Amino acid sequence: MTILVKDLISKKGGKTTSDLLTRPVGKKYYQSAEKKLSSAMKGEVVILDFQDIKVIDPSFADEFVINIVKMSHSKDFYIRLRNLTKSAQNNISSIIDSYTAFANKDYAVAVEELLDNGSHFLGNIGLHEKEIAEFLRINKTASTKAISDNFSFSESKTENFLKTLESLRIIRTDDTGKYFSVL
Amino acid sequence: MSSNYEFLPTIKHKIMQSDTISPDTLNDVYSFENIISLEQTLYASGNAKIDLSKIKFINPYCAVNLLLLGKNYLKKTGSKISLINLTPDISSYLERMDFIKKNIFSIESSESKKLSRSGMSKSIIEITDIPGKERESVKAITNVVALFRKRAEFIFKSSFSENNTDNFITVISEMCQNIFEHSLDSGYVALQTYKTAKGPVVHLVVADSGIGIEGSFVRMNKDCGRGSELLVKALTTPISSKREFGYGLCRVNKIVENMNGNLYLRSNSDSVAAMNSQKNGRVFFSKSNLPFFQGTQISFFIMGTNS
Repeated sequence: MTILVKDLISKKGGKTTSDLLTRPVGKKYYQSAEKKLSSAMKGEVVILDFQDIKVIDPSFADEFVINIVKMSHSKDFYIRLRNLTKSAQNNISSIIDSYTAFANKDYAVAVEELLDNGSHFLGNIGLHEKEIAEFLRINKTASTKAISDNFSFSESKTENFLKTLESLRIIRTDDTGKYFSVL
Repeated sequence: MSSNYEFLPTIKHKIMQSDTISPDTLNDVYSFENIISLEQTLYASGNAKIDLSKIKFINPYCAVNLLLLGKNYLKKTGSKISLINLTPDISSYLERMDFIKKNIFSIESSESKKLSRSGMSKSIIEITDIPGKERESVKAITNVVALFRKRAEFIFKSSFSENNTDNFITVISEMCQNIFEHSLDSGYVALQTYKTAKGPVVHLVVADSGIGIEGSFVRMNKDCGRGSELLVKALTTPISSKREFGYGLCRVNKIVENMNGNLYLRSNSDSVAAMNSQKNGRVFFSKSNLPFFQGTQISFFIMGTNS
């Protein structure tokens, strides 16, 4: 499922906004997205497309992005962000960091664009986990053995890294034991 | 701190008569401190006056805070402070910034030169009301941001970039939201570009006459420190009076830091100035026990826009 964020709220005269600002507006957008997300299937990758959006302020991001990320954990779907400007990346990154510190639990989100941190992920991810997530992004899918061989990690160590990434919901697995990137 | 002209102290303003303040300058935060320290003299009689005859330039921090001072006076006494002896330039400037339109002061001045909207207009954001109610406030913020986006190229000039514009929009939005979220009052936002001895600047001001930052924490029974210590904390850590955590001021300070800008935050009787130092990174200069001035006032200063 792809949600084009600019179309979540229709404006008078069909106008759309380039800036997603304030907490009350974030709440409105979340309520609209929530309806669409109710039909998301278990394990589905949902793309939040911010096409034509320039600014997402931290208050909006708190109400919209954080709530959708939390929802993805409880409803078992995956999130991927598309078309983030630099400013939007920085603001979303700052709220994920703050929320992580507050909740005392790591949160992360996958982004299609290459970010300033040299990866495709916002949030608190360890270096090795990040490398594995990038490996999966490029290869789309891989087994634990293939990953451990590639990085020269033991299989048990690799398994731990993969479990961390899975709990962050930036990779997923299936019945065959293979891992997939959400990107 | 002395490296920045914005924070240089100025000579105390003279009190001409018991109910008249006659400021020498209105061009930095300290010149307005002097006005605040003399505020009570305005209440001495029913005929308060501010004599602007010596004023050649007003920066947006002083203009917006003058409005707050006048608004508070009007609220408390039911009458207006008179602004007297305005030079034609100051009169024109105040008119251009929509200061006079607010109808908070009685203005006695010589005929103002009409400033053309086309010339100066594109590099300023006129003083705009940010209401205390959520719905109206969101609308006002949306309008200010739309205007800023339209004028950003003229405001930033050679330092214009999409990223600078987007970052400033985050700052405007987050700061204005604090007014309706926390202050329990209304406020103003304004932006002006002007030249200084150190070069051109973009100066943004967001101010209210509400309960102040400490007042907001006290109201919500939250203890995150007091006075200027709380102000520094608000700029450096994600604390919030209303929620478990917040990002507004902290994120804003980070953006201003990345833009190599200065920030001055005043709330009730405390203040903090934040600026970048080559040696020590982001440094904070705080002051407590300042003369009380109701509410929270924030001033942002970005250098380096060449025309």
